[in-house]
Parts: sequence; C-alpha cells; structure tokens
Amino acid sequence: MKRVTSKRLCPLFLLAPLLAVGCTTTPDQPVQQLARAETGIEFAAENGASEFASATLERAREHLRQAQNAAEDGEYDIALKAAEKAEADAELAAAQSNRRQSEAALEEIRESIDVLRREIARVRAG
Amino acid sequence: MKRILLTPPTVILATSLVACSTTPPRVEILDEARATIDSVEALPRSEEVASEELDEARRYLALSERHLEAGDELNEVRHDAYLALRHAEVAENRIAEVYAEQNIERSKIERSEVLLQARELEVEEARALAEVSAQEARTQAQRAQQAQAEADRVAARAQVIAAENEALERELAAMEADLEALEAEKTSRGLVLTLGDVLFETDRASLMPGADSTLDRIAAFLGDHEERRLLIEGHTDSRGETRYNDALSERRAGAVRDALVQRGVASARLEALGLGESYPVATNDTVAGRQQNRRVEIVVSAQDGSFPAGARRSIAQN
Repeated sequence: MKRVTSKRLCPLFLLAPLLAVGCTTTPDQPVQQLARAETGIEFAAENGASEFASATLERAREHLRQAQNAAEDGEYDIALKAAEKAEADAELAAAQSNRRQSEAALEEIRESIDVLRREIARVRAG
Repeated sequence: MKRILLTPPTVILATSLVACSTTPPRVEILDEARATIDSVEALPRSEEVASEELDEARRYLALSERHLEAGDELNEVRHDAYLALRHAEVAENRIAEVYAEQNIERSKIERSEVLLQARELEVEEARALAEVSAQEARTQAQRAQQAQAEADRVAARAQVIAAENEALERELAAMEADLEALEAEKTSRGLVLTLGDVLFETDRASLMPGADSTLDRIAAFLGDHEERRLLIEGHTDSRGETRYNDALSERRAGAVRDALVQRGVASARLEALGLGESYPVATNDTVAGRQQNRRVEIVVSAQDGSFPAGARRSIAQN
C-alpha cells in the first residue's frame, strides 16, 4: 500500500508568518487559530484522511466553515471555539487515517501469509 | 487569646452544604471525555507512545472540570470537554497505529519464514519430481537393456540355428555324396544300397575280399553319422528250398553285420535279418534276374535313427 507522506511534518512551522500577521492585526479576531485549523485540515488530507477518515475530516471542515462565518459576523469567541474544534477534528482525522492505513497494510500482509500457508498445506496434502 | 475551634462535624456540615449548593450538572460529553481518557490510559504502553496527546487531553479535561466547578457557562464546559475527547481519541488512534506497525514488523518476519517454508517445499517437490524422472529414466534404460539383451539372445540363437542348419546341410550333402558313391537308392523305405551276389562266395555266407572297400565306406559313413542305424536284409532267388534260402539270406545279412562290427560299428545300430526269396527285384526265370535277386539290401535310417513306417520287412508279411 502506498503510504501518504509528510506525516510527521509539524504544521506549526508553516504558521510562523501567519502568526506574526495575526498578532499585528485586530487582536480579538482568531486569525491564528483559523490558520491552524486550515493547516491541520490540509495536513490531514495530505495524509489520506479524505479516503481513510472522511467523516472526521468533513466534521473538521464544517467546524472551520462555522468559524469563518462567525469571524465574518464579528463573533470572535464563537469563531475561536469552532476553529479550535476544527483543529482538533483535523488532528483526529490525520491520526485515524494513519491508523487505518497501518491496519490495512497489516491486514494485507496477514492475508498474503494466509495465502502462502494455504498453498503450503495444499501442496503438502497433494 | 480566643480561638474559634472548628469541630470535625462542623467541617463536614460546611463542606456538605457547599457541595449541595454547587452540585454541578451532568455534562454528557465531559463524562465521555473522562471515560475515553481512562480507557486510553489503560491501554498498554499508552504513556510511552501517546504521552503528549494524553497530556493535552488531561489538560482540556481539567479545564472543562474547572469551568464546571466554577459554575461557568456549560458552553465553556462542553467546549473543553470536546477538545479533551478529541485529543484522547487522537491518542487512542496513535496507539493503535503503533500497535499495527509493530504487528507489521512481526508479520513481515513471519511472512519471510513462511516464504522460506514455501520455497523449501518447492525445492523438495522439484527434487521429488526429479527423483521420479530419474527413476523412470532408469527403468526405461533397464527395459531398453533387457530388450537389447533379448534381441542379442534371439540373434545369437538365430545364428546358432543358422550354423546348425548349415552343418546339417553340409552333413546331408556329405552323406548324400557318401551314399552316392555307394550307389544308394532313394526309396520310400529310405536310402537303400544293395550289395550284389558277386561279393559272396556261391551258396555261402562268406564275403569276398572285393566287398572290403564297400564295407569300409559304409563303416566310415556310420562313423560320420553316429545316430544312423542300418537294417541289413539278406535276399535269395527262388531256386532251392525255401528254408535253406531263408537261412542263407539270414547268414549273409549276419556276415555283413559282423564285418561292420569288426570295423568298429556298434552292433546295437545294426539289425540283420534274412528274408529269403520273399522280395525279388527281378524275374527268377532268367540267369540275370536270379543274380539280381541274390543280394543284401542295406536300409539307412533317418538321421535320428528311426525308420519310416513300412521300412522294416518280414517273411511272414509276404
């Protein structure tokens, strides 16, 4: 199975410029948290979450939309909380994706072993 | 100095009052977060593999509980509980992933062992197959060898038979040549050679010296053909007493037999008998015919010593 790469890449590093920008603009707007959520979602998608953890990834995107809408409406506290949820959802999506890929790889190897064992048993019997 | 002493019951009362007045409502997601953290902590090697995620989960859980205790908005309580639950789930998935990866490593080792087993089996099979082929080849070679040996035997036997035939033919030719020299005649009784009257003294059974060369040749012939036997028949003409003629013919046949025995022929191969005047070969009315009738006939047996049916004659038969 092809393994989605860049799994261990820390999304925080990507945020350094955004973080600086966030600090200089309106302090109440959760720019930083929104960016973290977006990056987290991208990271999860790169790790195969669209395929292996689609429900959780979809939830992260929904929370991100809520956060963006709230931010546009000036509801910064709601926006912050939704963005935090979105980030946590995205992290979970990435973790689920990694786990399911590993488990699928394991399953594949076990099946190949079973096939080999059956073949051996067949040859021995015949 | 007066001190206010708080007796234990008082303390208990106070705390219980406080507890009653601030009993927090049950928040479902907070319970779920707590339960999930507990179960993840119970997983083997959880602190080793997912300590950071678990720490995060516990930190949010504490925040959530603090909000709850402080009587903050349930919204705040639920929010931190949500984050705590999510981090606990991340930890759970991380642990499962590590567990799967370890099993992958183990399975890879197992798979190479099984592969090795399969390959060994393949080699074993190939070896068995080769053994069967070799056995078949050996069997076939053996069969070919047997067939060759059989063919050789047949060829050798054919050669022997051919050689025997050749020898037989040579012998036959030689015999025929021998008997031809003795003026033998081919008859239904076999080869018959006739010793004429002139070889005997008149009215006597003694052989004249002129018979010697003929007798020598007959003896030599019998020496060359050891299976053959002779029937020696004495014959007379019709003059004189029948009984006398019978006796004379018998003595003359006996004289020939004795002469051959003298020349080294086994007497068992020789049968002499007198047939008297019973079997004339010419008329007894003329001198020449009577002379022809006075004779000794020698019948030569077949190669195996037997005589054809009817070869042997007797007086009584006539």
